[in-house]
Amino acid sequence: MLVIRQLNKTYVNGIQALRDVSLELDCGIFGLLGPNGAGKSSLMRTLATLQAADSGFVHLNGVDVLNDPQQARGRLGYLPQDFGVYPNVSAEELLDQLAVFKGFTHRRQRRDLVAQQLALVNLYEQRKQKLGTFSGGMRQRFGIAQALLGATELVIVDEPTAGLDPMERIRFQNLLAEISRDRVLILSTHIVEDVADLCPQMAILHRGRIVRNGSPAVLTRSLRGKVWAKRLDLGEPVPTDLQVITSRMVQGARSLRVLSAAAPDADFEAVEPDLNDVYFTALLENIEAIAV
Amino acid sequence: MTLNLSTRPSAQAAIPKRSLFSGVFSAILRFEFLYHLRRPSFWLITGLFFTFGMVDVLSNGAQGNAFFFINSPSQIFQTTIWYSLFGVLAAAAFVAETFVRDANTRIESLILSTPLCKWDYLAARFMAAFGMTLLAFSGYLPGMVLGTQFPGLNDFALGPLRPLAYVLAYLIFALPNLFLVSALAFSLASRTRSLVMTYAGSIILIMLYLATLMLVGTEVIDYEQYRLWAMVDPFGFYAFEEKLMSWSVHEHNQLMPTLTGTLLWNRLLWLGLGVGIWIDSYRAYEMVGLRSARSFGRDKSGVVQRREQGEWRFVPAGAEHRAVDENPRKAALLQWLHRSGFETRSILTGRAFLLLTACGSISLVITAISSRSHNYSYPSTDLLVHSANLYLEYILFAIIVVYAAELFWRDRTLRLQLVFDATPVSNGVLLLSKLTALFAVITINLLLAIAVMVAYQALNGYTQFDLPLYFKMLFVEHGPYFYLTAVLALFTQVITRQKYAAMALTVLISLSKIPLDALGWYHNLYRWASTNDIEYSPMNGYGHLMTGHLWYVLYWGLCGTALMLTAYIFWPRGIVSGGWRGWQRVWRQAGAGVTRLLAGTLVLFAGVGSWIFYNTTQLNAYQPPGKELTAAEVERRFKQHEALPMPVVTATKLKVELYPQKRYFVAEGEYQLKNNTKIPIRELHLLTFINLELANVTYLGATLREAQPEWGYYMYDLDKPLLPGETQTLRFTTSTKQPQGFKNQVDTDDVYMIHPNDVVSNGTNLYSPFILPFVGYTKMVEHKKAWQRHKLDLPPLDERMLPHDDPRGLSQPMMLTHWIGGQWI
Ligand SMILES: Nc1ncnc2c1ncn2[C@@H]1O[C@H](COP(=O)(O)OP(=O)(O)OP(=O)(O)O)[C@@H](O)[C@H]1O
Ligand SMILES: [Mg+2]
Repeated sequence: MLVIRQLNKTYVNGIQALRDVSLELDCGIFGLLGPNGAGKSSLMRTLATLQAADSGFVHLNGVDVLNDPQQARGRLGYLPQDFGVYPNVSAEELLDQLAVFKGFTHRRQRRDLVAQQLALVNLYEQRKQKLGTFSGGMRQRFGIAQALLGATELVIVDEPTAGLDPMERIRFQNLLAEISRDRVLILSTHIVEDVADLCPQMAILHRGRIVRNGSPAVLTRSLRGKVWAKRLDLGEPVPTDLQVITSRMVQGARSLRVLSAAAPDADFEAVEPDLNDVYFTALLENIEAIAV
Repeated sequence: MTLNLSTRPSAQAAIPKRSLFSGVFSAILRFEFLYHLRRPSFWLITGLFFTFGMVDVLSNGAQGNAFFFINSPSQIFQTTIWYSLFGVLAAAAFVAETFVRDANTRIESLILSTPLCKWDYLAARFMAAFGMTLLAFSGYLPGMVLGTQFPGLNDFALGPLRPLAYVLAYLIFALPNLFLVSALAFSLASRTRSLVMTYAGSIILIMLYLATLMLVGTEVIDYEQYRLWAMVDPFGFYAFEEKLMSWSVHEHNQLMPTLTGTLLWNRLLWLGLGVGIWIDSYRAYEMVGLRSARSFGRDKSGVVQRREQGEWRFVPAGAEHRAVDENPRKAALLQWLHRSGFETRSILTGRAFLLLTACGSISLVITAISSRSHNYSYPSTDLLVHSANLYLEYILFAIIVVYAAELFWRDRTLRLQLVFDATPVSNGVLLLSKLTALFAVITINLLLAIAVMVAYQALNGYTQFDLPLYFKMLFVEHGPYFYLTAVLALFTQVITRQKYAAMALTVLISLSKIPLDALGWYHNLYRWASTNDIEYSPMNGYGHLMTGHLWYVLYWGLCGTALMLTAYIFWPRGIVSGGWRGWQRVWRQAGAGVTRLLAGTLVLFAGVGSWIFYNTTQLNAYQPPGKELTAAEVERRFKQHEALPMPVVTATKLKVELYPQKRYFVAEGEYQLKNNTKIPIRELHLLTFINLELANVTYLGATLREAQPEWGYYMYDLDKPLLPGETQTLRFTTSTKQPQGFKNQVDTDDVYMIHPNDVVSNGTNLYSPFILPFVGYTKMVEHKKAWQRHKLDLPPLDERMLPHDDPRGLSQPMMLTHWIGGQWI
């Protein structure tokens, strides 16, 4: 159980990355959605004890993460959005090093653990290969392997599926579903479908603020009857008086989705809302709130 | 971050018209200049050279080195060459940084995929980086000129300001030397994309300089091969020195050195090599992100083509997933061992280290050969270590500073730091393992020195291998300095969190002895990692000097511990916010345990410091008035008695009792005094050397009229005058006090490490003027160089030498010299 209350963070350059973020997370995958620069990585780094918050508190199963980071580190696994490796060291060796850092000081135990962990992400055969020669996806899988090392109570993965091929992505998602049965797993991503498929709970972060929080199904259901769609021909102007959720080109024609309590006009038809609608309406409202 | 590419629409640039300095070229140049100007490193390094120049001039000027002008052309040339050695730091900070930067920030592939041409990319950036290197380095010029304008400099040490000397020195030495180190940095950095490799290359250049020093000879100069060796020196120092060897002081001060002979050839050789290296690297550079695995071996270990694609196999968390719950201290210990091994391996298996070790061994052999120049002796252990240390002091120092930076920054540049920081490993493990790796590097270098020296002895048929002495000299006498340097180098990285600033700071602190000397601040309590004067002698070993040394080592060791504890507290974990609040937060978060430990260390440090202070300023005088000062005072007070007739000593009997273990002596002496003058002598004056006690003076009918023991001057009235031609007997006892505790430095300004009146446990060396009284005032106290007399406020000597037949001269003895040397008990 992870409890986050009133978390605030302003960087020295004045950017306010987190504003009053409060969340309560149970075991299972928690999806974090948000546009670039929303503050997802900032939130995750704070949870991973890698940067201090200005105010607020974070409790992980009774451990005060912000004030007792050393305790918390023993219970979490973290995959940064952007990380590197020692180019001249093999996967096995670096993972071994990380296992030592996580407290596995017995050689035999560690050897088994490292082998198991590499097998977990399909890297066992390449365990002796130098990390500098890994492909982007292989390196990402190595990152996942290290994040899942040990008995973690909280796993934080920042855009873990970036760079995975479709096959590996599915395997990875299956793995996530499995390991999240007995621990909290926070996943950030830009792929809305991933969250819809995978996450029982989610939040949308925008400009440092939580603008939606709940289960994808409930959030989607709340839009039922409010989303209307229409196909515009080429050259036809996009109406300006409507709250446009998305307007995208689909096979040569413009497909418009708008938010409205009732049908805006006869050409629109009611459609079943999806998580994309939730995501975009959330950003929409927020932009307006800021504009006002 | 690197280039503003948006200003160049790629469509236009398809086949750009080639001119050497196109618009792109100047755009890149401008960007690079601005980039460097924004970095604190530039300002810090400029400041460093400015400080160098000024402080150096001030310290030389305040001391006044004989009649040499501190701003004579030859002096300016020498200092310029000497500084250009440190230009290596600037070249690495700008040139190497430029060519490693894009690979490290991974912007390389973005740039290389644009139609940018090689000339614009490489030449413009090299020009900018070299320009910055020159600019930062030139900080020494205003520093030096400003230094000579300071009030209070010794008049004898200051010549007229000659701008041409600065310009010529810059053109003949600064420019080619910096070009050479920059070209080398460009070559290595662009090929290897590794800063450490680049540093290794620069350190090897300095090794060449030191090798020349050794080959030319440190004590005795090898004139026959001089020209050859002078060509080996990349910085041209010895080629330049050749010109000065036959110069008088006056020529030193007046003449402008010329670019001829060996110097010209040396300059052409190394400038040519620099240009060659540059062109070769330019040609070899491939404008592709991933170079073919041509340059440095290809490693196929562990490469496996994937065969089957299995499901990711998840095994539910079992017992093996739980870290064994053991004593956290024991776990930390094991983690530290493991990580230290990893860090050390990462250094030892690096190409840079192999290169440094190989070249280091060669240099050590050369230093061993050079030790022959000391008295043409056998290659005895102490002489070899003495020579090796000259080399280690520069090279090992540089290696430590470079690897401290590398160890601290490697994980950060590789963007692996955050992964490590999220694990529960303690900051102490991370910090200490880096320190351990540095210590391992130092130890390996010292052991390498021993191995090379022993091999050299064996090859020369010298078989008295004294390994304990090797260890004592290298690890106990010289070692602490290096280990402490490692502590300092790591500490500055942690605290400044700026790579080059930290390196510069370490160099600055290590060189702070130079300005402290200038100020006359000699106490080792505030001279980083210094201990009392200590020298091994084959007869007496380290003798009593070791005691003080060990206390100082303990003192600095505690200081190092405090620095490491501070570094532990302020170790940057995760993304640290700067600013005062960030520091405060870290301090608050530090556990009570570590702050208490720090406080305890500081208390111990202060305690040991007080004990040293007590020994070096209370038990023993800190900076006792030296021989020169005392002599000057004797001259001022007692020169009035010079004209008094005094007897001469015609025979001396002496019985000296040495107490080697207690380090003092008592001498009972007897002089036969004869009146060689034409008038009766009515009073007798005795003058003793500093720190000598005179007692039991017996002379028939003499009564002490006045005694000034502080200056060693005693006056006796004679009841019965000593008539011309008459002889009398004088008996006396002289002695020194039994020394207590230890001293900060040896109290002599006489011959280096020869301690007047020092009785040691084996090999005491007593010199009669220092243990016997003079009869009457002696002109010996006045013998000083004119600039020294000026400094001591004494009038210039009006008569330098009496004619041979002057009766006054004939009536005075020249001096008393009887050596009493040898071994007792
Ligand atoms: N170290 C830092 N110093 C200053 N500002 C920062 C720092 N890191 C991030 N920011 C700023 O904080 C804001 C949030 O950044 P963050 O990286 O958390 O976003 P994100 O949601 O992860 O974005 P993305 O989807 O692009 O990864 C951004 O405006 C960013 O510019
Ligand atoms: Mg992010």
